[in-house]
Amino acid sequence: MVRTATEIQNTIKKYIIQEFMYDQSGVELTLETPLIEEEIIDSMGIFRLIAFLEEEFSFTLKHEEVVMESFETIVAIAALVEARLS
Amino acid sequence: MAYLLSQLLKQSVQAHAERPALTDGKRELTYRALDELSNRFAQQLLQAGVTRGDRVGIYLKKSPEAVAAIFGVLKIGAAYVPLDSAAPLQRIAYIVENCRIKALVSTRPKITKFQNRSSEIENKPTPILVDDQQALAAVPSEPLPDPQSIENDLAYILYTSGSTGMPKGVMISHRASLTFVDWAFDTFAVQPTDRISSHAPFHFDLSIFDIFVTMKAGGTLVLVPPTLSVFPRDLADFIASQKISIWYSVPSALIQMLLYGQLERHDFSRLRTVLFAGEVFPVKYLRQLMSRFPHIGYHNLYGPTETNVCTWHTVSPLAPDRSQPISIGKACANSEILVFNEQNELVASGETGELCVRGPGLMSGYWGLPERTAESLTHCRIHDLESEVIYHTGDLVRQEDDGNYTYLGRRDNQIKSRGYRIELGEIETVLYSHLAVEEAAVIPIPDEEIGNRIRAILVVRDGEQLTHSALDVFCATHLPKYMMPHEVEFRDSLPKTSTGKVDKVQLSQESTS
Repeated sequence: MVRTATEIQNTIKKYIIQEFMYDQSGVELTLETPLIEEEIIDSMGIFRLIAFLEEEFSFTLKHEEVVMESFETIVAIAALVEARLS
Repeated sequence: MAYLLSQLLKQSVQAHAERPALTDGKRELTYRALDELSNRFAQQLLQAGVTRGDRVGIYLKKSPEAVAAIFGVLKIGAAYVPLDSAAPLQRIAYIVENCRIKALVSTRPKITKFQNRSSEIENKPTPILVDDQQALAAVPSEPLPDPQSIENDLAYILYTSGSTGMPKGVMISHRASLTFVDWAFDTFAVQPTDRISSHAPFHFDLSIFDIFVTMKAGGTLVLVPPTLSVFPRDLADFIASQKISIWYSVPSALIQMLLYGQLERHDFSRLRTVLFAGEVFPVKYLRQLMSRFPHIGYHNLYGPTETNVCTWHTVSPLAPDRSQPISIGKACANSEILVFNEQNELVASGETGELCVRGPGLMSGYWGLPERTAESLTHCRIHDLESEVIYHTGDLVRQEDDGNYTYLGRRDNQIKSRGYRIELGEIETVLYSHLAVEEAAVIPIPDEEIGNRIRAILVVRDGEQLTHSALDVFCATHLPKYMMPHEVEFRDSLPKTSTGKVDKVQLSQESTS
């Protein structure tokens, strides 16, 4: 099944809200919210997120791909996923 | 000779006014600029009615302003209380109330969020906003009147995990802090040309070395953006590009870089000293790091927050077949190590006992907890001195033939995870406070990369329901992230010992087998 960019973004957004935002009621998560800067995802969360992406989208990330610029926002993460799926 | 932490900045301003005092990789402040900015914060605090002996919360992300605010607090003789900017608001509110914080240095968005959620607390600290440029510009940057502080006054309070379910405030005086700072400055020969990392958050005691040893030396403090700690490769890039010469962190940050940071691609030729503390550094990873960068000096620093640092060990090259953990070394200058058995008798070299510390580097006590303080700081007769204060660390050690001490474990339920000190009892107390929880046990699962993973095993009350996600939400509103259980298991009952207590030994064996 081919997923559209919007579907990928929504899947990631849903996961982040479920897993990382339970203490942030009232904070709106947008596709451009700076996830690391806002401390929504920290050094403990990043590896959980990577494990989720690898399982959900069936690929493996290399160490050199785990860099800040690929994880700054949902848009950035979705772009990383899309590049791997294409 | 400085007897107050604020004097370290004053002396460096006189000697190196135009040298860079700190940078976050984007902005740089000279010693003069840092001094003037801290004077402005001090003026604002004075206007808010803060005086010698008061407590001021630093509720900010790591930034040049946060460092300036710390010195602003110290300059007027108050004590700073660094707050974890990512901690649940309930925990922040508890600390604000607990030590009666009089002013809170923060940003407008953070203060608004805090005030919305802390209506139930009586204490209402005055906000000092670092993002209010107008208010800051309106106060003078000239030096402040001398608050007549003495070295026994409190410099800061660091809150650590408490076994009774609430964090406890470790009170550190100027004298205690400077005992460590002076030792570290001499021992590692810190120079004005050094660029020292600030990796640990300010509420963590490793930050004391970073901030105050740098200021004493007239060096440059390189604030590591917390966001970079999430990405080992970006962090390695930052160390190289910022030409950091002295690095200090928990071992897990170094292990993450070793495993995922592509260190072979980086030029670490400027890095001369690596200090680590907070947890045991697994020998196999330390050996890899040392063989990759043999030009660096590696030092293991040991000491709970209550003692600053009390022993240290310079690591020699590690043999390929060595698996025995590295030593915590010998006492730092001006600290004495004593090892007592359960009968409170000093033990001989080679015997196991509790590590206790004597010297001017000890804490003044736990804020508002005289009984807990009296258990940890006891009076005893040493060297024919009638009533000397010693601190009981709760750590079990043995002195080896070469005089170095070996860490053997804890006497209680305290663990380390990513270098953070965690009382398992605090997590259990939070879990028990959930109405649906009948029984709870929290056990550590040893982990080579982060020290320990935290596993919670729960029994839910009859008729109640509790899901993993509901429990996550509950924990996240009561515990800082580093104390959240990594794994949760629900059971119908917990195994018991013959005395009716939860059998944690059995639970640990089941979890690790």
